[in-house]
Formats: sequence, C-alpha cells, structure tokens
Amino acid sequence: MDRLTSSAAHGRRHRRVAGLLLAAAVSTATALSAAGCGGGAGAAGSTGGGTLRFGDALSNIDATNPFVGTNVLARAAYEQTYPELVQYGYDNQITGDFAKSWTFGDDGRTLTMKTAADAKWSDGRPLTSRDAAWTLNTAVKYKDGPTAAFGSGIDGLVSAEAPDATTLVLHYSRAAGTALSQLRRVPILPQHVWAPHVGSDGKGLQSFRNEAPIVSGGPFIWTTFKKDQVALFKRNPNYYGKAPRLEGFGIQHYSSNDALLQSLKNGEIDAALELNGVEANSLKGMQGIKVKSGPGWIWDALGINSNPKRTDHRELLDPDVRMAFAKAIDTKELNDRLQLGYAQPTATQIPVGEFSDPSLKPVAVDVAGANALLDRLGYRKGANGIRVADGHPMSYQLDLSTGFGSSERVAQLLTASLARIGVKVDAKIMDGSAFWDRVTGPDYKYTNSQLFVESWSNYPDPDFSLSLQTCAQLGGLNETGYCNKDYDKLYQRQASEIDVAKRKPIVYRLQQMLYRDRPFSVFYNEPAIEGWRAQWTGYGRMKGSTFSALSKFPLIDVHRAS
Amino acid sequence: MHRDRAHYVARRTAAALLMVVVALTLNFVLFRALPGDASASFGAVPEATPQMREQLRRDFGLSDPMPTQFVKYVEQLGHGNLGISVVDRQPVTGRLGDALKNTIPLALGATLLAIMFGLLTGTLAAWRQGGVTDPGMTGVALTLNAMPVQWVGLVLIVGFSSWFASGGMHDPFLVDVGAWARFTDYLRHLVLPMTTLALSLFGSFHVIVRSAVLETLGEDYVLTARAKGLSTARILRRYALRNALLPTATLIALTLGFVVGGAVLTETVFSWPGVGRAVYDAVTHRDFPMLQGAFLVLTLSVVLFTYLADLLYLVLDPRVAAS
Repeated sequence: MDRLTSSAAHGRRHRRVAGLLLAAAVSTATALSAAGCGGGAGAAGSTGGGTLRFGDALSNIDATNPFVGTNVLARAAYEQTYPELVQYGYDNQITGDFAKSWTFGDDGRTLTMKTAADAKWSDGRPLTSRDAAWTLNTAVKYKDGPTAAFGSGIDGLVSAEAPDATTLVLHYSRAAGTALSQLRRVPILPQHVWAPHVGSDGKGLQSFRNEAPIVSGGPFIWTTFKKDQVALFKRNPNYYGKAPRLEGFGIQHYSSNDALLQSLKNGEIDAALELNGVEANSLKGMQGIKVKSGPGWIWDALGINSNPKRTDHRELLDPDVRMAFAKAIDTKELNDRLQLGYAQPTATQIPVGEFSDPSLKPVAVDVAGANALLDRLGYRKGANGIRVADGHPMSYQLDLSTGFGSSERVAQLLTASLARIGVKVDAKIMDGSAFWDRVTGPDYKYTNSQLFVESWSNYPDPDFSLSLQTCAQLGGLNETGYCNKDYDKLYQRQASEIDVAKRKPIVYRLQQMLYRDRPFSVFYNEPAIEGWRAQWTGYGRMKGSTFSALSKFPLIDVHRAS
Repeated sequence: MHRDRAHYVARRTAAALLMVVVALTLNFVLFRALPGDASASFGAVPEATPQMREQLRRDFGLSDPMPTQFVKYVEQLGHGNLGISVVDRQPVTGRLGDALKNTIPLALGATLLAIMFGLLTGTLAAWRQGGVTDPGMTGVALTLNAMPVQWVGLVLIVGFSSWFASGGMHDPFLVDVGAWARFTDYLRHLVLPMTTLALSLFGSFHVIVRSAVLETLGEDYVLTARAKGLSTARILRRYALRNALLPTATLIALTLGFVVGGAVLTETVFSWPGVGRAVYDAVTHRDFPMLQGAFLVLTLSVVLFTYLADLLYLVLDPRVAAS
C-alpha cells in the first residue's frame, strides 16, 4: 500500500473513531442529564410527610460527638437526635421534653423532675432517668476537661440522682433560677453506648467517633454523616414525644451561597437555611419558591473595648463617648443596606420578649446630638476634622471578622457614620481566629483592640446574653473586657431567682446598666430567612430557624403539602 | 553514560528529600506565625467556656514552648501519625485520605482535559501562525487563564446547573438505586468542577505547547523534513511535538503536584469535599494538625511529580544526565 493510500485509509479510520467518540459523548451527556432530571429517588416519590432536603452554606456539622461539636448546625442535629430534659416551646417559654414536670425545692437548690415513662432508645433499650443522671454526673465530673463543652448547661450543678426510672433529682450549689434554660443545652446520652468509652480520665468521651447510625432518643435517628457533605436522619419510631410528620430529612452542606440558591431553584434541595436579605429578595416572586423570614436569634453590635485598666484611649471608657458613637450610627441605614430591612430593631442584647426592658428604646440617630455631647466633653475637632481627646486624636482601629458577612460594607458605613462626629476609624478585616485573638489579646489581657463589630447568639432566656459581660467570663466569652462587680452581683441574683416575677426587675436593671455602659452598642437582631419549595408546609411556627438548636418543635410539623 | 545517569538520579533524589525536610519545617513554623490558635477559632461560640479553651490548649500542647511542639510533631511524623484534628478530634490521616480520594479524580480529570486541549490548540496555533487561528486560539486561552476560577465556576453553575449538579460530590438523597445510577450521578456532579478547573489550567498548556512547537518548527531539520515532502501530521508528530514535550512534561508535573494538593477555589465553589476545602477549613479553625497534614500532602505531591518529571526528562532527552 503506497503512502497516499495508507494516509487516506488512516484518515478514514480516524474519522470513524472520531464519530464513535462523538456518539459516545452524546450518549453519556444524555444519560447524565436524564440521571439529573428525576431528583433523589428517596425524596421525590415519598408519601405522607415526605423526606425533606435542607441545604446550608453558612455553617456545617463539625462532629457527631456532642462533647466535640460546637457549630450551630451540630447543636441542631443533637437537638433532633437526643432527648433533652426541657426545650423551648412555641411561645418561647421553657417546656418539657424528656422531663414532663418539675419542682424546685424550697431553697431552690434541688430540682426534681419526672421524666417520660416507657421510653426507648432507637436500639430498643430503655431510655430512663438513669441515662439523664449518668450524662449529668459525667458532665460534672469532667467539666474542666473532656466534657467542658457541656459546661454552660451544668453551671452550679453538683450531682444528679435517679431514685427510679422516671424520677431525676438535681442538686445545685446555689439556688438555680436559670437551671432550666441551661439544662436545655445538655443532650441526654445513652449510658449503655457511652459509658464504655469514658476511660480513666474521661478523654475517651471526646475521641469516641459516635459513628452514624447513632443510637438516638429524639424524634429522628441520625443515620448517615459525611463530614462537610451531608447528614441524613430518619424518623425514630421509638420517640416518646409527638411524632414528627416527616419520614426523614437530610442536610447538605454547601460552601458557596450561589450554589445553594441554584440547587434550591433547580429542585435539588427543598429548603435553604440561613439566607440573607439579598438572597431572600432574589428568591421572591420565583415560581414554586416561598421565602420565610422573621426575627432571628442573633444580635449584631459595635463592641467597644471596656478594659478599665487600658492605658491608651481612655476616653473610650466614658459612657458619654459611647453614647455619642451610638447616636452617630444610623441603625436603620445599617438595616436597610446590610439586611435589606429584614432585621428587627432592638435596644439591648436581650431579645424582644418577656425579659426585654420596655423602657429602653433603640438609640435614634442624632448626629448633632452626638457632636454636642463630644463638644461638651471638651473633645474639639482639629484642623483635619478629627477630634482630639486628652492630647491624642480620636482615631481608632475597627476590627471585623470575615465570618461576619458584608464586613466591607459594614466597615464603610461605620467609618462614614463616625466621621460625621469627627472620629476617624481605620477598618481591618481578618479571619475569625485572628479577630478573636486581636479583640481579646494579647492572651486575654484586652489591651489590643479599640472598636470591633460582632454578632452573638441569644436565647429567649436572657441568662446567656447577660453572662457575656460578667467578670467571670473574662478569659472566656467576654470580648470587651467589661468587668463591673455590681453587675456581677446582680447577675448572680437573677441566676438564683426562681420566681420569674422577681427575676424580671433584676434582669431589667442589668439591661439598664448595659444600656448605660455600652460595652456593646447593638444595631439590631438579624433575621432568620429561609427559602422553601412551595410543596412544603408546617414550618414557621417558631421564631428562628426550622432546623433549630433550641427546640424540636420547628421540625415536628413540617410535611409535604398534599 | 550509565554513571552519568546514576549521578543524575542520585542528585534528583537528594534534592527531593531535602525539599521535603525544608517544607515540613516551614509547614510547622508558618502556621504558628498566624495570629490566633485553635482556641481562638471557637470565638463567639456559646459552648466555648474558659475550661473548654484551656482543655483544648492542654490537649494539643498549644501552651508548650515552640521547640517542644516541634519535637513532638517530628516524633509523631516519624511514626506516621499526622495527629488529631482540633475540629472533630479524629485522626487527620483518615480525613485527609478521604479528601485525597475525592480530589484525585477531579484533579487528574481536569489536568488531562487541559493537556489534551492544550496540546491540540497549542500545536494548531503554532502551525497556523500568521493566520487567524493562532491569535484567535491564543486569545481565548489567555482570556480563560486570566479569569478568576471562582467566577468561571459560578458562570457554569448559573448556565448549566439545570443539566449538571450545582454542588457536592453526589446526591445524598439518592437511595435504593443501583451502581450505574450512582456512577452517573457522580459524573453529573463532577462535570462542572472538572470543566472549571480544566478551563483554568488550559491556558498555560496552550501557551507552553505553542511556544515549544514554534521554536521547533524554526529548526533546520524541520525545514529539511518539509523539503523531503513529509506530511504536516508527520512533521508535527515526529519532530515538533516530541521536542515540545520537554517543557510540557515539566508543566504537567507541576500542575498535577499543585492541583492534587487542593484546588481550593474550585472545591469551595462546588462544595467538593477535597483537600483544597479541607485546607480552607483548617486555616479558618487554626487546625494545626490538619494544616500540617494537608500541606504535607501538597509538598509530597509537588516533590513527587517534580521528581518523576526529572526522571522522565532522562528518558525523553538522555543528554540531561551529562549536563
């Protein structure tokens, strides 16, 4: 065969191969598309409550082990998997979960609870008050070590005993007025699963993988967990409480909000959690999608370093200077620009509700008033327009965390707001670890930072939010370095007060102190926004997220509409 | 000749080992130069009591002097132990192994696509230099190279997520289905991230191949080959591409080394649970054991592929041993 013929044959062979490859590519693409069109086989075809598919891009479940996992989604997963003694009800009041009733002793140091009878774990073993006693005693025993993550739930607890299968008696070192709101945060674990892993020093409690499927006592059994990917749950037939209507649910983690929204639009998921105002507006009006929005459980604020021992910029410790800053900031503008109007105005860190002091109002923007206040203090503006306090310019570093969201825009708005009263601000944005290190540093001496922006969770019970400003939390959750002995004494009083009617005025006084001293100047409560596909209903009966760490109720009523 | 080759291999091996030692030391030091540590990463977390932070610092030796931490780190490495993750208290080896299994198909597939198309278009552009083809193809390649990879990914999601998945590695709600359905579902999820990564890599391959082929086509022996009447395809295949393979092999090795270590942006946009995403999460949590382990993977993959490229050079051009 000569060269030309060989080349021609070679060319024909190439064309045949190319044709076959093209046909294969088209077939594969068709098959892939067809595989994608039907959606999850387990999701679309179910009857009854259905299987709900959540997506979330803001946080993930860090661990299946409650002694290790601290992310909000992890806590929400534990809420659905494990019993808790109490939870928040539809009215945001503490109500029973595994504990059906309770009484305090006369001195408030004993709490006797009656727990659900004939309850079972998902593996069929009895779920009794003895599991609760074991969990709490183990948490107390190792609270400075492996069970430290349960510490905020067992403050003041000395011991727990279970005289019978449905009675639990808790002994506290002081009158435990806030015991119920704290116990809500402690998942009750199956003793028969966890006890073998304690070891001699309790460290086995943290290293125990607690692999799915998890022995569960809550409304759902945690069946699958792939870190940073997905967690799947199915209804627990042995649940002692009101059975959920869902047959199961799953939560898929996304690391991009755009991918999350696209998945919702395409029907790959049924609901997208933790959306912001921009995302909510992008979904509104879309066929087949509903937006659920309402007040959430997170407040945002300007934090001001309140370390009384700071040596520089001592004018920052003056409540009048802090009030001037508050008056210069237009929180409505912040709400409109950052949250697109979805946030809820609030005066303090305590959520609007039973314990929020009605006499305290959000500080109205008053630039003239702020300027007058600083003029009265003698902080005159220099030639460059920046005020001078005690011989140095009122020029501060404003620290923000990348985790805050819209941190650049917040920085711009606050810089402009404070510039109107002659205060210069230099914004620095950094990741969460560097931010915390800067704000509390060096080594929790609280001398580095000046101003910062922060957001914190709050709860219906004000105890946690109030605790953030105590001297006891220096080196812990206290970010501002605020330490006021009178405040701490009042805080302990409210923590010990069992009678709500007597506790409220104490809580009001604490709020008034924070309002006056302003370690945090609160902007608003962030909204809780979710996107839902229209074939789902039953959500939205409680404030906050449907996949909640506060209560099992938000998910109980969710189901596929007929 | 054999002695030259043996020396060449020995030199390259020693250099590779030295790179690993230096990188491991830098891995340890650089992360600790960042402000904040693992206890700081818990920030505004309600469960992060002072006791919890202190316990964390104790368990992970974060309060120990730096030299002590380094000695413990090296001792553990010597036993093949990458340590325990701060985030979930599980062995880093397991998590990294899973992440690597997820990254390899993505990285290899994207690199192969980029190589294929880069070789094709680079060669064509060089052969057609002076016409419309060359500037057209090279313009496209450079434009793709300049585009931020996360933007390309988002564009693909918006444009094609009706046919292919927006995120994740598979549909987690696909239950009770056969192996073929699972496989096609996996491919559905792989297409967009692989295409994104391939598009970001393609430009470099195109430019390198084009440049190498152009240089070869200017040589006298190619002119001789044309004068002898050899076909275009034969000239390209037997002369131009062979010589273009040398710089291309280097680029392939470097690309594979870095991409296996984690295509952070691509994996983040598509929520692909690979090494890149693991690195991103570890940085934000100051999860030193995970970071050290992940960067060890990155270091070893770069060193390994570079080493293999050096050995491949010896095969492609034995003269390098003598030089």
